[in-house]
Amino acid sequence: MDKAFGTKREDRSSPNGVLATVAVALIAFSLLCGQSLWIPASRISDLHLRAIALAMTDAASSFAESAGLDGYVPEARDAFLAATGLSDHPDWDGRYFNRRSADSEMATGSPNAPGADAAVGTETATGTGTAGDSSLVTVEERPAAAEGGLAQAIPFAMISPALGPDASAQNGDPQGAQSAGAPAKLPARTATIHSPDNPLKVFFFGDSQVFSLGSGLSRDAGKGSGISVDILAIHSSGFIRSDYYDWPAKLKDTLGQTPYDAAVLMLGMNDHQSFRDSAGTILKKESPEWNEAYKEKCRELIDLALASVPRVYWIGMPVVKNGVYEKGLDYIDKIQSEVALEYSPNLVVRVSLRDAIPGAGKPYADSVSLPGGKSLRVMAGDGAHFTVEGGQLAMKPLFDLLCADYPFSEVPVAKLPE
Amino acid sequence: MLFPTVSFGVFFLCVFIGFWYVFRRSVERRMFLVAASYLFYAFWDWRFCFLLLLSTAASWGFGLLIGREKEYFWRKLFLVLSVVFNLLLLGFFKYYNFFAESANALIGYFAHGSAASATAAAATGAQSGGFIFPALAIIMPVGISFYTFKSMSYVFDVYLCELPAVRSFLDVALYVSFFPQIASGPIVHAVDFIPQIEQATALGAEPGSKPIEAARAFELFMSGLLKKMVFANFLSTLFVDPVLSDPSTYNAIEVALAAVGYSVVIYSDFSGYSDMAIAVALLLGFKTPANFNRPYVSFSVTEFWKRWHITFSSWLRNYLYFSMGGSRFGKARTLVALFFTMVLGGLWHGAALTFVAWGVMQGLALALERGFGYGNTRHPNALVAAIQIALTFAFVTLSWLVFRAPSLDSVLAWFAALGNFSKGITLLSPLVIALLAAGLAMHAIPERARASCRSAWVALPVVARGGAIAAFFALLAVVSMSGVAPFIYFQF
Repeated sequence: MDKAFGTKREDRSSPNGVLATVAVALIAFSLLCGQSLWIPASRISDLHLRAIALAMTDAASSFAESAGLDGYVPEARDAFLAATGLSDHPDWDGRYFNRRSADSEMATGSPNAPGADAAVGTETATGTGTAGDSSLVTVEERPAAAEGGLAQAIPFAMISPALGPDASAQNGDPQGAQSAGAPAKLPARTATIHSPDNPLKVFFFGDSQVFSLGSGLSRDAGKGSGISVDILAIHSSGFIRSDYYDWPAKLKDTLGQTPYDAAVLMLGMNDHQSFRDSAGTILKKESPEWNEAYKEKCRELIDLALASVPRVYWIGMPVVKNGVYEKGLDYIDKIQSEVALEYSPNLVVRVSLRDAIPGAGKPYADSVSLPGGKSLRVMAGDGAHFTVEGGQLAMKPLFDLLCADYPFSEVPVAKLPE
Repeated sequence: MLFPTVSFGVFFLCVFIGFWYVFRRSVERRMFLVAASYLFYAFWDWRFCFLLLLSTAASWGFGLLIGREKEYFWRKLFLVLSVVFNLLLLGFFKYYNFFAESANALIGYFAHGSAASATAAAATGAQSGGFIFPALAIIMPVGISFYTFKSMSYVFDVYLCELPAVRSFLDVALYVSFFPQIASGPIVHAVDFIPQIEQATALGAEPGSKPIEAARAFELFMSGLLKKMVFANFLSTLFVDPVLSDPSTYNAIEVALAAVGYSVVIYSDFSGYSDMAIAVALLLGFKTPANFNRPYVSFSVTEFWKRWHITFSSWLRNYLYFSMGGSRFGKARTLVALFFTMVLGGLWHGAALTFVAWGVMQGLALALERGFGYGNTRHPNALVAAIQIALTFAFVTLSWLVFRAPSLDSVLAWFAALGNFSKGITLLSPLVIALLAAGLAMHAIPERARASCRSAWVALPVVARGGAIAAFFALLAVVSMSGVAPFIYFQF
C-alpha cells in the first residue's frame, strides 16, 4: 500500500493497457452514441483539426448506424428529459442546440470563444402582448434587406407591427436613419396603456451577456411594475454558428407562441470568428465577404423578430478588458450598427452599451462611481460580462427608451443600485 | 482548453504517446512535458507564457541563492525578495485596480472632498495632483494565483530545508507549469512534486513494467466529470443561479435551499476539477495529494480546513501561518496569526470585499475554536456529533453565500428574502431535491464502502473496464446539458 496516496501496487497498468482500455471505451461509446459523435467534434476551434475530427466521427457514426445500437442513447435521453421535465428547458432541449442540419455553415472558431460566454440563463415565457396588430410594413423600409432576398422569404402578412405613416415617412430618407446609441424619439404606436395589471411584455434574448443585462433590466423595472421582462440567455451563441444554437428556429417558435410588445436582442460576443457560407466556402473574418454574410445573418434574425414584434431594441457590444477581444467586439459593433441603420428607427433601435458603461470614449473600467460616492463593481471577473448590478446601470438607457416609447398609466421609475 | 473537451482529449493523447512511447530518456521527457505544459497554457493566451517563464526563472534563481547561502540573514533576505517579487507579480495582475480604486478613494477623500470625484478622475485617466492611480485594463492570466503559489512554495521549501535547491531549471519549470495543475490547481507543494520528477520520468523503462495507476486515474476522471456535469451544472442552472441572482422573487424555502445548493455546487465544481487534474497527472506517472476529503462531514471549521482545498490550506499553514509565528508565541499571537492567515486566504481568491469578508468569517471561526479549545475531536455521542456537523455545515454555507455574492448588499438581500413565505415555490422540483440530497449524501459514504467499490473496479479486466467507461460516458450523454459550463475556480 502506498501510504502517501492510498493506492495499491496491483492497480497499475502499462501504457499499452491504458491505450487498450481507451480504445475499447471509444469503440463501445461510438457504437452507443453514433448519432451525436459530431457534437463534441464540432466544438474544436481549429478548422483543420475539426474537419479531421468530423470526418472520423462521421465514419464512426456510419459504423454505429450499421450496427444498429446507436438509437438507445437518444431514446434514453428523450425519456430522461420527459421524466424530469427538462424537455423544454433551454439548456437541455435538442430542438435548437446542436442542429447540424440547421445550417450548412460551420464557423472556424469555437462557439465557446475565449473570454466570451460563461453564464447560462433561464427562460420564462408568460403573458400576452399586443403584437397581433394587422397593419403591414413593407420591406422597402430596409432597402438592403430587400436586395438581399432574405426578407422576401418572410410572408408580408407575418410582418405585423403597425408603424404605418411614421414608418413610411422614413423610407429612403437618410435623415430618418438613426445613429447608433442615439435613437430618434419614437412615437407611441399602440393604444394599449401599460400598467402593472397589463405590463409591457419584453422578450430579452441573446448570448450569456443577457443573463446580467436581462436581470438588470428586470431589476430596473422592479416586480409588479408596468414592464415585464422574459429572458432567454444561451451561452456561447451568436448570429453565426446556428449548428450550435439555432436562433432563427427558436425565435420563430417562441415569438409565434407568445406575443410580446418588444424584443431586445443582444448577440455578437462570440461572433468575431471566420465561418463557412452555405456553399462551404470559408469566409475569413473582417473580409468583405464575411461582412456581407454576417450582415445577412443579422438581418435574418431581425426580420424574424420583426415578423412577430413591433419593435426590436438591439443592444450593442460592451467594452471589455482584453484588448484583442475588445478590438473584435468593436468591429462587430460597427458592423451591427451598419445593419441597424438599414432599418427604420421605428423598427430597430440600436442601444449603445459603450455609451452607458464606461461612457462614450472612455476606456474599460471594472467599477463605476455612484452619485453618493460609492464604488460599484459593474464588470464580472472575466472582464467581459456585466455583473447584475452593472446590468442594471447599463440597461438604464433602454429602460428610459421603453418608458418614452410606450404609454404607461404610471410611468415606471428605474430602481438602480445605491 | 478544458478537460472535458475533444480538444483536450486529442492534446492529451498526443502527450501520453509522446511521453510513454516516443521519449524514453528522463531529460527528454522533462523537456517534452515542459513544452506540452507551455503549449497547453498558450491555448489561453500565448503572451502569458512569458509571465510564467519569468515567475519560474525568478523562483529558480532565488532557490539557488538560498540553497548556496549558509548565513541566516542572506537566506532570509533572498526569501523576502522572492516573496515580494511574486506578490508584486500577482498583485499587479490581480489586485492593482482594487488597490488603485481604494487608494484613489482615500486620496479623493482628503484632496477632493469626496471619493467619487477621485475615482471618476482615475477612470477617465485624469491626473489630478499626481496622486491618482489610473484604472488599467489588466487581464488576469489564467491560473496566476495557482502557479505563483507553487513558485513561492518551491522557494519556501528550499528556505525551510524541506528540499535542496534544484539546479535543473527544467525541473523547476516542470513543477511550476505542469499542465494538469496550472489552470486551477491543486497547488501541489514543491516538496511533494519535485522529488517525484526523477522517478516519474524514468518509469516504464523495464520490459513488462506497469507504471500507471490507470484504474485509479479512470475512476477519478469519471468521478470528477460526474460531479461537474451532473451535480454542479444541473444545480447551478436549474436552481442556484436563478434564485441567488434575485432572491426577492422566490419562496423562503427556495432561498434557503439555494444556499445549500451552492455549497454542493462549489464542492462538485472544484473537487470535480481537482479529481480530473489528479487523474491526468496519474496517467503520466505523477502522484498528487488529495485536495478534498468529504469536507461537509466536518464537525468543526478547524476540521473543515483539513478536508477542503487541502493543498491550499496546507500552503497557508506551512508558509503563512507558521511564518507569522504559528502557535509558538502564546495564545493571543496564535489567534491573531490564524485570523490574518484566513483573511489573506480570502484575499487570494480575488480583489473584492466579499472575499475579505469570507476570510474574516473563516479566520474568526478558527480563532474562536482555537481559543475555546474546540474542534479537534468529534463528540463521542452520535447525536451531538450530528449537531456539530450540521452547525459547521450551516456556517460554511453562510460563508459560501458571502463568497459568491457580488456585494455585501446581495447577502443582505438573501437574508431579507428568508421572509418570503407568501411566494409560491417555482423552481424546487423533485429533480433538484434529489440532486441536493445526493450531493450532500455523497459525503456520507464511508471510506470502507468507497474502498470496496474501488477494489471491484480495479479487479475488472480491460474489456469490461473499457465497456464500463463507455457506459458512463453514454450515461453522461443522456443527461448532460447541451453546452459546456465553465469551472468556478478558473476565475481565481
